[in-house]
Amino acid sequence: MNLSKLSQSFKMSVKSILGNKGRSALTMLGIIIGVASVIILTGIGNGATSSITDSLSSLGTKNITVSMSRGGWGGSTRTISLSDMQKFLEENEDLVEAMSPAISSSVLLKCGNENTTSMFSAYDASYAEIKDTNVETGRFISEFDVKNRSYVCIVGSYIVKEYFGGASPLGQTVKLNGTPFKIIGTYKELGDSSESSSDNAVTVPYTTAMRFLKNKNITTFYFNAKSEDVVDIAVSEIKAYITKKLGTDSGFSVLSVAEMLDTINEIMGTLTAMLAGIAAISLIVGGIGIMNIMTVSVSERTREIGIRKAIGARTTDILLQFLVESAILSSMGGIVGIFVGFILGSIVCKLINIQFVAQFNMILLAFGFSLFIGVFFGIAPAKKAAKLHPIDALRSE
Amino acid sequence: MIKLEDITKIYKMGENEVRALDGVSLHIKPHEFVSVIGPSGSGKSTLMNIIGCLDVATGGKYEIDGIDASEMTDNQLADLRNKKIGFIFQQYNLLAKLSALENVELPLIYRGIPAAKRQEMAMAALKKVGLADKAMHKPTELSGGQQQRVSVARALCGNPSLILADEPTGALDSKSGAEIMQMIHDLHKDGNTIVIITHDLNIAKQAERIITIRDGKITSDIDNSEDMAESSNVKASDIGDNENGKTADFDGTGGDGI
Repeated sequence: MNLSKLSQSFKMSVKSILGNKGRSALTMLGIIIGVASVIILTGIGNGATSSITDSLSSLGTKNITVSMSRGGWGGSTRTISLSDMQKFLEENEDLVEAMSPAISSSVLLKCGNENTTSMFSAYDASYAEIKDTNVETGRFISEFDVKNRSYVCIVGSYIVKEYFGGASPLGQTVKLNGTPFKIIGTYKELGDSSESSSDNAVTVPYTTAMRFLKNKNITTFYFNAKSEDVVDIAVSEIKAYITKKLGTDSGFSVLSVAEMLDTINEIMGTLTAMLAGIAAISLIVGGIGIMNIMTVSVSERTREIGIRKAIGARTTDILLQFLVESAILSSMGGIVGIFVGFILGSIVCKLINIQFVAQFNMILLAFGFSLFIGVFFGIAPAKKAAKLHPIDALRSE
Repeated sequence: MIKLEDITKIYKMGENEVRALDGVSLHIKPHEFVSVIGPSGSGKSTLMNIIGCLDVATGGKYEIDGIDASEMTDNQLADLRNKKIGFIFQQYNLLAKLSALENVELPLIYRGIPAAKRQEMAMAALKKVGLADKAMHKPTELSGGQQQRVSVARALCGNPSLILADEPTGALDSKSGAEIMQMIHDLHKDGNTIVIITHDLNIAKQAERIITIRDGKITSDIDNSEDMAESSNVKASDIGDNENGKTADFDGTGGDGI
């Protein structure tokens, strides 16, 4: 079979498709719906993934969190000391560049005569190097505050709104579990400023907290890796260091945001692939639609096939003609489906407020798959046409 | 040119066997103008299918231009039909969605001739049948006679060795029929070999040689060439068993197609 024959089959098929516009459109509909739903679902899936990873990335992709779990099953009774962690920081300057211990708890916050139970956190001044502190007014904890165990705090927007009526609380005093702290800064609104949101929070220097909570052990440490490339190495170095110090590799965890991102990407990828797979079923249904129409078309055109055969069309010529026709139908359906998918997907994503992320290879795959469907489901009717005996075909009306 | 030797064709219809052709031997020389006449069910359609390579005989040997067609595959037969045989059918058998020119081009497409050359050849053939001005018309926009002329153009454009006409005038009025027959005579004068299948004695008598077939056997093979000059004096009685003088119309239904 040469190229001119292929281009002839192509011309004949286009003619036949255009000659039956209504039927051709109906045939393509199945493929259009299939391809469009694959594009929409993967676009939404990818959009959701990127919105999750974006918000995770804002936590800092260089971040490493070390958590000690004291007691409990398999947990060590020993815990790593702050000085050990500081030593690790000094010894591994090529891997990590900042470390802050973290204490979290809850406190009874009293302002005037009113009480609330607030989220309580305590950090080193270096926390500001590791994460975004989200300080809106005033300042974060300084090294001086840490050194002097100052009774200073940063408060969340709920407290500002609820106890200071939105006016600047800087320099004012709140009582935490009965002890007065001076407000040196305020946080940006993170949630909806309600009592149960993360805006009902208060932060103090960790040295102050250790004394104030009578807590000798720190269970959480934040590190910042030198660069994103060394996050994984830093994680394993920290693990090895703690394992050596504790004499066991259980009772603690070392996690990086990068690692969490990988996990989430993997889960979302699987989810998206599953959605696309379900959508692909409709593509197969569309393919069966093409097979039906092509079978009808072969029956209708038996006489035409007979004439073509009588004047010298080979089996392959007829096969090619019908195969090209169903391939054109399904790939045209594929192209229309891609456009429909793009338009609908963008609209849906706008409505649910995520970004529509269309991957080029997904588009290529959807198109390729629809072409394959057309050829695959076109084979049976095309074979039927090609096998027709010229005499029988000529006799038919 | 065409050589049939002891050709038999048996159709199996359930339990029964039908001998459509029963030991037919026939030689047709180049540039001959032969008509095959016989009633419906005589086997003339089957004979035409075998000569036209549309069907393969059950037994015997069929040669066209020295090529043995009895043992050929479907694709080889398709090529043979494409290159050696030009068909003219009773029902024209043009493709309704193609223009006259495209219809004439069709056999050349399957022969793999490049588009420019193909169009030139098809246009020349249309010119020959006097339809150059209707090249872009669809068959439905043409009269029956014009459609048959398109099909004559299609048959001749590929320069086949044999032009096989099956009841070419069967669906036409007498004037158009006469025009088509004139065209076939012209083709013969140009040196084409012509086999015409008919049930109409008046058509059959226009050939140089008249072969009668009945019950799958050739019953007469008459050289008509001397009589061609004057009005034919071949009598119906020479051909079949019709009463003398009456125009032979064996099946009366206007042909049984192929």
